[in-house]
Amino acid sequence: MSEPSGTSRRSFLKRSAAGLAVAPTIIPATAFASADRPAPSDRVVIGCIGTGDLGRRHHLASMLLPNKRVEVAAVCDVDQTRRDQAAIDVYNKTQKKVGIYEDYRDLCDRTDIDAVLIATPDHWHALTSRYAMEAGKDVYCEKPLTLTIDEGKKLVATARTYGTVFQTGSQQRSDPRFRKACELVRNGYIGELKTVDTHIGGGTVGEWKPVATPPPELNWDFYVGPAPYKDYCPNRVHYEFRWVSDFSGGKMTDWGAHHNDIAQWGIGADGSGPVKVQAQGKFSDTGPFDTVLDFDITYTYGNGVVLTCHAQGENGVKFTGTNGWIFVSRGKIEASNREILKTEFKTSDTRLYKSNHHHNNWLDCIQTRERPICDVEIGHRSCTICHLGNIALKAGRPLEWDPVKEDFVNDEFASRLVRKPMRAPWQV
Amino acid sequence: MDALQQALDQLATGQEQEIYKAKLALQGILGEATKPGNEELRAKVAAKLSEAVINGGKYGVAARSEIARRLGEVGKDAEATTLRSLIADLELREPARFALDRIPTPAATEALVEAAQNAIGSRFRAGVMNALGQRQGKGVLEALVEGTKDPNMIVRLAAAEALAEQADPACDPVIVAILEDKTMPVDERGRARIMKGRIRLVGNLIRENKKVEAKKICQSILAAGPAPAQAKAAQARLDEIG
Repeated sequence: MSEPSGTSRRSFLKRSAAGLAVAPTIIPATAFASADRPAPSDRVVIGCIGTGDLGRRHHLASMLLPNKRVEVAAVCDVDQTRRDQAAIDVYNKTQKKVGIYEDYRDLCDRTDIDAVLIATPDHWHALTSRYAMEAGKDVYCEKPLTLTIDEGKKLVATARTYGTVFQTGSQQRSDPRFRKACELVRNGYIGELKTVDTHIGGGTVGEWKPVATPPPELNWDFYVGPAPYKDYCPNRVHYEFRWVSDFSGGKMTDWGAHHNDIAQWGIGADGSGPVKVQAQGKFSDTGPFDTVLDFDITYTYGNGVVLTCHAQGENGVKFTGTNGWIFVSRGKIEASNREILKTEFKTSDTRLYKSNHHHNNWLDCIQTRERPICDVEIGHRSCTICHLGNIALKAGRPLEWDPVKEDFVNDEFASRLVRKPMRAPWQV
Repeated sequence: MDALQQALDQLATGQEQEIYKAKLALQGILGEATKPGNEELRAKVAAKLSEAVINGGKYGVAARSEIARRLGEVGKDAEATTLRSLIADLELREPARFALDRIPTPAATEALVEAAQNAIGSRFRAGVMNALGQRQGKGVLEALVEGTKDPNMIVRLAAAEALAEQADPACDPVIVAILEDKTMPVDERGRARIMKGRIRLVGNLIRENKKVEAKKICQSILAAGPAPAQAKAAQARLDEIG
């Protein structure tokens, strides 16, 4: 049955419940809220697209199933074992059977699902996100948001057209340490910001393995999807996809989408970006993995701030200003002077968006229709930083970037790398 | 050019580790050749790659596919002409299409238009429609309009989505006509794709400040009884236009 035009499942449920309240009808107890469980009209029905390690272990098991505001109604993966295992997880936790899908479109076409959580390999993020948004779903998509800059532009446009509540999975934005560091920087407590150094770790060389017949549970052609077709090989699939440039941007986009995102936040460049990028890097001499191994990428912003993204060094983000520095990582926050960290913010200080739980922030925003802390454009712009680094490495020359037009300046060939053609019939 | 020849020879070995090294070498060579101001080197590199892909029997299909794709990073009109000649080759047409998609010159557009008209294979032609959707111009428009009458639905729908990228209000009735063709009914998912395409067209028209035309299309979408998401999007666009 199709829904009334413009009616969401939750608003329909609310209206129906109001009508039923005066009718002599038995209403199941599950339709009402209890102390520890919101009413169905306030629960968000979610479909999980991509139920591999991160999708199943982190998002499904740790974040969604324990959350009483969520009902997981469907799971989807091109690997039958993984999607079935995810469905078993849901059943074991809730005693409910869920829809199980190989094709994300079948999941997104369901009218009873409010939102999707996407944790596919990177080359599928844009396609699945856009399809979900156009099906009226709110979206949580893992980082890195995209495989190309052009994909990100299209995701932003689609989210705005459909009013999508779109959370990018760069969850450090919901970590109080990172927020505090950025607030101190933004309010000048280390003086005028001069440099930012992000340390994100290097790539992996990998090990040559022969191509093989795909395991029967895996739809390999679907896995490859929009990327140029290549034969199945165990080191091109599941966790290892991130080292294959047709599927991912390597460590640059993997951890870059975390720490460069924090750099953008501290610089105050959300919705914008640098104007120059210059890269030095080393790729494996022997393969098989073809994403960059070791690198130092330097980005210059219009206000003169220089961000350098390093493979080496202690994992974290260091902001350096004229009066000191702050280093922040997932485990700690340090400063050139401990007093900086004891700062009591003044009422006149700029305070940043506060979220202490990335998934709950998304769920809150689904209710309020406000933008989440790592909205699609923030995710896109932070991912752009990473893509710019990879493009500059490939080009082997300094590049000028126009963050308004989102294109390179006077470099026709670099501009060609802003998007990648897709294998038909896929297209973003 | 010796380094380029060495890379091509490595590609031709068919051994994965050698191919990896060749690709890495090509990355450096193409980076240098595409530097602004290096036109002479670019032309030489592109010509050598063209020659390898055309006369490269010794390289094999996998190597020639890789070379063809690389032409998309370094090629101009001359290389687009080379790639055009590969469209009839069932093994090389897809990498050729990838490369043409990336080359922004008129000759590449002409090659894609010709592929839209003459290439065999519905999935391949759908890819060509997708590539044409990134371009503008009379020839592009004509090819896409023709694509909406293709005997294969996969091509028709790709053409409709490509037309939605044209920011031309005249595209809307052409897109809608796919739904009205009784000889080839559109399934539910196809109908949804067309409606989503029309919403994208509205967005592109608004960006081009063609608000009156965009408004009419929004009203037409709402009158057609779309899915809730498209109804909401069309209404939001109407509200935005005022």
